[in-house]
Amino acid sequence: MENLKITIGRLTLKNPLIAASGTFGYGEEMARLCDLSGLGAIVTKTITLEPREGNPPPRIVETPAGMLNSIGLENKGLKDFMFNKVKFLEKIDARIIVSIAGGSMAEFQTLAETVSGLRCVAAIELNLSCPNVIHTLQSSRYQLIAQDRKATAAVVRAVRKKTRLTLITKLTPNVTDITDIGKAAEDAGSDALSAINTILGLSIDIRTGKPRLGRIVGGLSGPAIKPVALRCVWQLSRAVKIPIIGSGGIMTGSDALEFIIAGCRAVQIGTAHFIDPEASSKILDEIKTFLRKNRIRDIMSLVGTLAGKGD
Amino acid sequence: MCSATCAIRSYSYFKMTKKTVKKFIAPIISNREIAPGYFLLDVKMPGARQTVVPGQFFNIKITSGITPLLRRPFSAHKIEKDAVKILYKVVGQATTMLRDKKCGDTLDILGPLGNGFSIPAAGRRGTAFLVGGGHGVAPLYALAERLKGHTDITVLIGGRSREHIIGAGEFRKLGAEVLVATDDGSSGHRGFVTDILEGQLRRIFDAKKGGVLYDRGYTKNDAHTRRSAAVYACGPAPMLSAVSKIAEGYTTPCQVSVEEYMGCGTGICMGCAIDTTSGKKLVCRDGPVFNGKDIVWKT
Ligand SMILES: Cc1cc2nc3c(=O)[nH]c(=O)nc-3n(C[C@H](O)[C@H](O)[C@H](O)COP(=O)(O)OP(=O)(O)OC[C@H]3O[C@@H](n4cnc5c(N)ncnc54)[C@H](O)[C@@H]3O)c2cc1C
Ligand SMILES: Cc1cc2nc3c(=O)[nH]c(=O)nc-3n(C[C@H](O)[C@H](O)[C@H](O)COP(=O)(O)O)c2cc1C
Ligand code: FES
Repeated sequence: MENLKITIGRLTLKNPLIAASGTFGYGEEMARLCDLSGLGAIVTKTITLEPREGNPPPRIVETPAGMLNSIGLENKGLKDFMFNKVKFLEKIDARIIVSIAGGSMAEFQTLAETVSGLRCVAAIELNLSCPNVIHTLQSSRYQLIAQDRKATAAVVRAVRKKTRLTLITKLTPNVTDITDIGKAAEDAGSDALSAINTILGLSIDIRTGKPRLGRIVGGLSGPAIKPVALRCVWQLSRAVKIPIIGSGGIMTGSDALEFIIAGCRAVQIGTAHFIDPEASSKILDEIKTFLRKNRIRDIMSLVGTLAGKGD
Repeated sequence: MCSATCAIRSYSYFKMTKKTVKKFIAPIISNREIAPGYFLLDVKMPGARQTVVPGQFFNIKITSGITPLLRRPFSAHKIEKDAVKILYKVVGQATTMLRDKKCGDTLDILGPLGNGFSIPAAGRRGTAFLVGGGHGVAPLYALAERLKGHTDITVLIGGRSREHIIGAGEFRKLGAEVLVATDDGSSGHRGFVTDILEGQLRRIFDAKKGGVLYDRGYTKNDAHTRRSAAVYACGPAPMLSAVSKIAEGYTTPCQVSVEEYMGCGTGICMGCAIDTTSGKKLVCRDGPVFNGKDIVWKT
C-alpha cells in the first residue's frame, strides 16, 4: 500500500485530493452524485457574511478547453451556513475547509472566528482571489485583494488573530509576480497557499457584438489554464516554505501528478466535477496506479521533484 | 426537528449520502435527420418510462475529450419503456459532433435531471395548450403523451418558416389539434404563435363569461364538462415571456420550460441562475419547468 497521507499546517489528509471551492457546493449537493469518502478534503463554496445574489446571467460560457464563469460569489451568507449547511458537514468523513470572503477586515474576522468554533471545520481558505466581485478594505477598493501584497498581508494577519485553525490563502494568477503575494501571505502567518484561482477572461459573440457573459468578464478555469497554474505553483514552491495546494485544469491523475512534481503537497479539483461528479475518485485511482507502477511508496517523496529546475 | 425524530433523521442522512442521480453509458439506437438541421436521437435507457418525467432533461457528454468540455443539456422528447428519444437542433460544436454519432456509439449521460411539468390529476377535463418554438417542441411531445386521454390537447407551433415547424405530424398522430404560425406565412398563421394562443384563450374566456363552452365531443347534456385551460410552453425566452403574460391575462395556469447556459446541470456551479419573484433560482435544480408568473421576465 502506497502512503497517500499528507499534512498541511496542522491538518492531516488521508490523500492529497481536495474538492475546489465553488465546484462542490457544501458537500450535501454532491452526495447525490458521488461518493464523498474518497476525498481528502472538501473546500466549501465561498461564504460571505451577508447573503449575495451573484451576477446577472449568462454566468457560464464554454471557451476552448475551458469555461468562463461570473457567478459572483452567490451564497446565502454565514447564518444560513451555520444553520443549514453544518448539519450535513458534521456527518461526513472528508475534512472540511471553509472558504471565506469578507467585504471588510471586520467581516473576514467575524467569518473566521465563527467558523473556527465549529467542530467539523478543519481549516479556513481565504478567498482573496475571486475575480467576480469588488472588495472594499480600509477604504480602498480592490478588484482582487490578492493583487496587492499589503492588503493580502493585512487580511491574513487580521484573520490569524482570530483562528488557530490551519489557514490557507488562495492566490490569483492575475498578477505580475505571484511569489511576491505568496511571500506576503507567508510572512503574515498563512499556513499554506492555494493557487490558482481563475484567470480573468472575456468571450464575445460576433453575431451580436456583445460579451457572452452578463458581467462582460469572468474567470477562466479548466484544462486551458493548466500550464499557467503549473508555472505559478512552481514559482511559489521555490519562493516560500509553506505547503502549496495546486489547482487549475486538473482532469486526470497525470494532471494531478504534474502539480505534485511541480511542488504541490495537495491538489484541488474544480471544473472536472461539473463534467464528472466522480472525477476525484478516478483521479485518485490513477495516482495510485502510477505510484504502484513506479514503486513510489510515499506520495510525499514526489513533491517538488521537478528535474532540471535551472538556476 | 425534535429529538424524537433523531433516529429517523440520521437514517435519512444516511440515505442522502448515497448516490441517487444516475450517470450511465447509453448505446445509441439511431440518430437521424428529421427536418433540415433537426435530428432525432434514440438511446437505450433501461426503465426510462418508470423514471423520467416530461420536462426533465439529460446532461450529455458528447466526447470523452476536452472539446467540447462541458456536458450539454437536452430534454426528453419521447419517453419509452427502455429508451429515450432526444430531438435536437444542430447549432454549434457539440451538436455538430452529436450529429455524426452512429448506431452503436455510446454517450455518457447524467440524468434525468431537474423538475418536469406537473401534470394535472386525471379526470379534470379541459384543454391543454402546448406552445413550442424551434427545438422547444422537444419536451412537449413527452408531455402530450402523458396528457393524452386526460385532456384535449392543442399544440401551437411557431417558427420562422415552414421548414422550422417541427413535429406537427407526430402531435397529430397523438390525436392533438395542431395550429401553426410562421413569420413569413409559409405555413399556417402569418405572425406569432402567441397571436393564436391569445385568440384561443379569449374564446374560452368569453364563452365562460357569456355561457358555457363544451369540451370537444360533449354536448350541453354533459354540463359538468365546462372547459378549463392550461398552458405549457417551451421555446426562446421572448416567446415564453409573451406566452406567460397572455396566460396570466386570462388567469390560466401556465408552466414554462426555460433554458439557461449550464455548467454542471446538477445544482453545484450556480451558473444557471434566473430571477424569480422569490429571488434567484437555478434552472437545472429548481426548473427547468417553472410557473410562468413566478419568473421575472426581462423582455
Ligand atoms: C434544460 C435544457 C433543455 C434543452 N433541451 C434541448 C432539446 O431538447 N433540444 C435541443 O436541440 N436543444 C436543447 N437545449 C439547448 C442545447 O443544450 C444547446 O443547443 C446546446 O447546448 C448547444 O451546444 P453546441 O455546442 O452545439 O452549441 P454552442 O456552440 O455551445 O452554442 C450555440 C448556441 O447554443 C446555446 N447553448 C450553448 N450551450 C448551452 C448550454 N450549456 N445551455 C443552454 N444553451 C446553450 C446558446 O444559445 C448558443 O448561442 C436545452 C437546453 C437546456 C438548458
Ligand atoms: C463555477 C465556478 C465557481 C467557483 N467559485 C469559487 C468560489 O466560490 N471560491 C473560490 O475560492 N474559488 C472558486 N472557483 C475557483 C475554483 O475553486 C478553482 O480554483 C478554479 O476553477 C481552477 O481550478 P479548475 O480549473 O480545476 O476548475 C470557482 C470556479 C468555478 C468554475
Ligand atoms: S448548471 Fe450548475 S447549478 Fe445549474
